[in-house]
Amino acid sequence: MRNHRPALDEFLASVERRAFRMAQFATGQTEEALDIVQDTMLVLVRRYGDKPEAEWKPLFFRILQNHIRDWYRRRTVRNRWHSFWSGWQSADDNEDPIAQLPDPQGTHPEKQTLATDSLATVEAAVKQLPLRQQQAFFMRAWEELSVSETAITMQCSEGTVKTHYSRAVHTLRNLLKDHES
Amino acid sequence: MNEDDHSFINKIKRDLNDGTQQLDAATQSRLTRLRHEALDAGERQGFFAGFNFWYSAYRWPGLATVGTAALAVFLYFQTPAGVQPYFEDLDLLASEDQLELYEELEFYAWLAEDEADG
Repeated sequence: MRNHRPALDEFLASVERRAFRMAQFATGQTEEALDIVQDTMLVLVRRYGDKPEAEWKPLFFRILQNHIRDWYRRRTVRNRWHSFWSGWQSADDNEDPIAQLPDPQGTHPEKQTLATDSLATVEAAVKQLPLRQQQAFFMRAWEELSVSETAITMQCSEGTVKTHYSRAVHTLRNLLKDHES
Repeated sequence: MNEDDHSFINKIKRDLNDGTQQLDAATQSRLTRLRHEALDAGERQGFFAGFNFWYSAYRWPGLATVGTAALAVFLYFQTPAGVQPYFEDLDLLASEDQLELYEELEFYAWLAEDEADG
């Protein structure tokens, strides 16, 4: 790995910001996103650092998408246990009235798309995409991976990639009607 | 994808790229640190790669078993024929109640002799 360090450093520096933003879009949390990026970097360097440089990008994003999917699975299980546990408690038992108040900084997704700031509008729309559509859009549009590379990254067929990507573009068009003009 | 789609997608892409450029300094600094840590971890692994045999934890139980068996065989064959000193010591240690008896063995021998004479 020692001889690859400068090249790996350059490669990781070129993708780390986008990887972080993708993880942040998917999880909605900065710390979780940083953890995912860290794990992704470690796996790439340790396991695939000796692979040809041309393979690093699809490998890196495949690892990233795997970690994001794992995060979703863990969260689903956690939520299931949480709802199971809270089912045993009475409704007004531990209800914190302050927690029920609306977050003054939070905005409903539909209202977010109406925001005037272009970047915020696009980000809000991308956040609303289902995970697989989001991944297909990021890989095809943002990373400019080919359909076959995206299929490898997402571990699905090329046909599935096309379907997810097409639906993602369609959804974004609907959400960003005003933004386009 | 038609031309219209391409320009729409390019516009989103520009916005997303703007978003990455607007990361706060703290986050950017943490990303840089994570990158260096990953590269350092990779180098450490590379350094130890030649010692794979020695740091593969799953080998140690097997090695310990083989080592113990070899030591047992060595000790068995080193003991002079007909002499088993360790087993006598084990008897002494295992029976705590008799320890005093062994320590005062001479006294009890004298007592028995005395009683026999008397």
